[in-house]
Amino acid sequence: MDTLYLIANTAFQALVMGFIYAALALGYNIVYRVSKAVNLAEPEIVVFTAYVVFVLSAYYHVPIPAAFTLSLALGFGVGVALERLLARPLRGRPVAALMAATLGAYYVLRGMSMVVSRGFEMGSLGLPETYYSIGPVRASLSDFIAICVSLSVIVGIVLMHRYTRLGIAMRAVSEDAFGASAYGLPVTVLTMLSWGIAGVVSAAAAFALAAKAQVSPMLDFYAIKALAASLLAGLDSIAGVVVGGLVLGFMEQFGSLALDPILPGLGNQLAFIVMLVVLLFKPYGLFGTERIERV
Amino acid sequence: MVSKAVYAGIAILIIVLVVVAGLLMLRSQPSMHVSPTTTPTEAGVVAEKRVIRVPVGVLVDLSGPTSGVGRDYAKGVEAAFKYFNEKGVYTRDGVRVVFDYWVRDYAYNPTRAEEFYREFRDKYGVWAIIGWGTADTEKLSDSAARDHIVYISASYSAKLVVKPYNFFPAPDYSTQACAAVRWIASKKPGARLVLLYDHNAAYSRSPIPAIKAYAAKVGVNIVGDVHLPLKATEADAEKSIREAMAKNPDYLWCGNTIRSCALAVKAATKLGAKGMFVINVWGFDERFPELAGKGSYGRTAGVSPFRYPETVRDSEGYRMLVEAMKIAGYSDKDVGSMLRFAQGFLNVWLLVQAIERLDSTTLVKGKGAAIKQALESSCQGEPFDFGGLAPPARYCPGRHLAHTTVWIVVLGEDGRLHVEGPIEVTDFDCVKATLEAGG
Repeated sequence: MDTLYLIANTAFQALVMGFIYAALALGYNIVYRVSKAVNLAEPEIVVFTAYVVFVLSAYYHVPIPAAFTLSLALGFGVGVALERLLARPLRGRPVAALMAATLGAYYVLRGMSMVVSRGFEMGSLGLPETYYSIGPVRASLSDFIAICVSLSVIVGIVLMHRYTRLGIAMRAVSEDAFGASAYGLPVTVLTMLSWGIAGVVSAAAAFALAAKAQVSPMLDFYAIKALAASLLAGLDSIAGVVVGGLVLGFMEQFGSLALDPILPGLGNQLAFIVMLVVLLFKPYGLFGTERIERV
Repeated sequence: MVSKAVYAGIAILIIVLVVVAGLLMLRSQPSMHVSPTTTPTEAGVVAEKRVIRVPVGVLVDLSGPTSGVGRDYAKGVEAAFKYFNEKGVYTRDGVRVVFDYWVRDYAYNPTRAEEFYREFRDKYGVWAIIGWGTADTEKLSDSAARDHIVYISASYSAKLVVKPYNFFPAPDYSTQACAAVRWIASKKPGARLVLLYDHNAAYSRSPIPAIKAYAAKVGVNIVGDVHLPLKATEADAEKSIREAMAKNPDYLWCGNTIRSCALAVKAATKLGAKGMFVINVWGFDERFPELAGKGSYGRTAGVSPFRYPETVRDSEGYRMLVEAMKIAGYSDKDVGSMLRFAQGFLNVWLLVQAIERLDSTTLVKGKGAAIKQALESSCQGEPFDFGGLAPPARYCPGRHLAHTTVWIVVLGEDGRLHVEGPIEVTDFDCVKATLEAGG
């Protein structure tokens, strides 16, 4: 097989998966910035919102764009509910308590996903089967949808954080909640909004992922892997997730290409090795804020 | 700065919407209960005359990597228990049998399966288990034999054929795969075949040694052995297909479950890969055309040791399935694949038929051991009949190979499923080939 064809197509798929991982990682980072905890419920927000789109479109014949929009609203609602019911009551408690609570929420959402899915296990979003050849690269409509949705959500969040008053206020809260409060910023509301926005980001990433992997309970596996991209970027970095996601996507695709003939399956597990290495050698990631505590 | 009240208002509104939507969804769902059930009617019977309550554990995958085929199977199992409990099961001497059953979702995790097995055995004292996956069933087979618990699984692994307490109403994966190889050989002598499967999944690996051995015998050339993850994305599937394309195959064996195989066929269409896919029993069913898209038409076939229920609508078995669905409260829309539903139903039906061959004293005294003996009584006696949904099954002590009949279901250019066969491999012992290779 032509080497150029092989490399070009593997790189393109790595790019697609990289952007999806970046969008998934963004969901973790937005929450971490305001609550200093990893939201372990995110993988199930992804599954839950993906099923909402699938069930609405496949069984209630809601057009995909409308179903997607509704899933974003639902993602926002779930995020807000998690903040109100878990993060806020646990504020000031050890971070581990909040992480444990989000793990509990993971299982609650898993149950909700099974209810929403009407007992059906899997399905296709039914996107048109259109294929394109761009030079040596063979792409499908679902590739472009995944890239567009992931990139839009990442760019949107980055721009919001940099250039809008809301984003600047959110950054202020994430930097120093007490200081922000002293300047009259509504810290509680901004924290709640951050969780809600993280839910929207997760729902958007879920749609992109479902376009590439169909809708099934297994989508949570990719969201868990995206935590590696998040750690690599630094848990409080926003734009850094693009680098984290792309590194993960490229490592996984080229790793599988190289390793599968010798050690089948290892390439797909590289994300977990990345997590381990980052936590051991660079716990604040590539772009995260290194916090030094003086005693 | 946006006012606090506006944010709070939006948040509360969305929370209310989520809760209302959740409640509405909950209301519209048929229940998937996990505790023993006794309907008022059954309770009445219990009060009137002697009833034997048979405790059964059910292990299913509703949330793991094989849930793509696991949920309809679980529905079939549960519907079967409701159906038989309502219709009435009687021992040979006329004593009513009622099933108490406990359903556990082990998410295809063998360690969790072991935990649930201990719960079934120690807490509920089950006599039989209706199980699921290959890795867990193989792992638990020795325990089941030691504890005298009949284990009827959805795994058709060759290794289970020789286990004393393991049964399934189908040929093992290896025998099924050999039939597929024979079919390939009949279509194109000397065909080039690439094997696509998850090299780390016991289920996917199970028939590979037999495929390789039988292919050599009938002149099919295995030209590639490619890893395709069970948890694949389109990107993973494309990588596997590109690797397969380099071998220029005429046929590709997909040994994973339906989600993974559908993605592989989709990827092949996208990349313009040639070759026909022949897919393992759990990788292909009525949903395949929709999942894999129009590109799969005319280039895909599935192996099946069962009749697709829709193709045998006049049979007694089909009528029972439909009635069981009604009793369980499922409409057509609640069951994605009737084949998977039927597979669950058949496993319970096998257990029921075995119990019907026993008298009440033997059943109560012997429990699982008695059920095993009843199943093995078919070796020289009457086979178990499945009302046209599957060929009659016989089990001999030391070799629980129900039968060797397999059909190939071809997805035609017209998007319809066409049944070819039956095919029986009688010139080669595929079970032995797998066992000897340690597969």
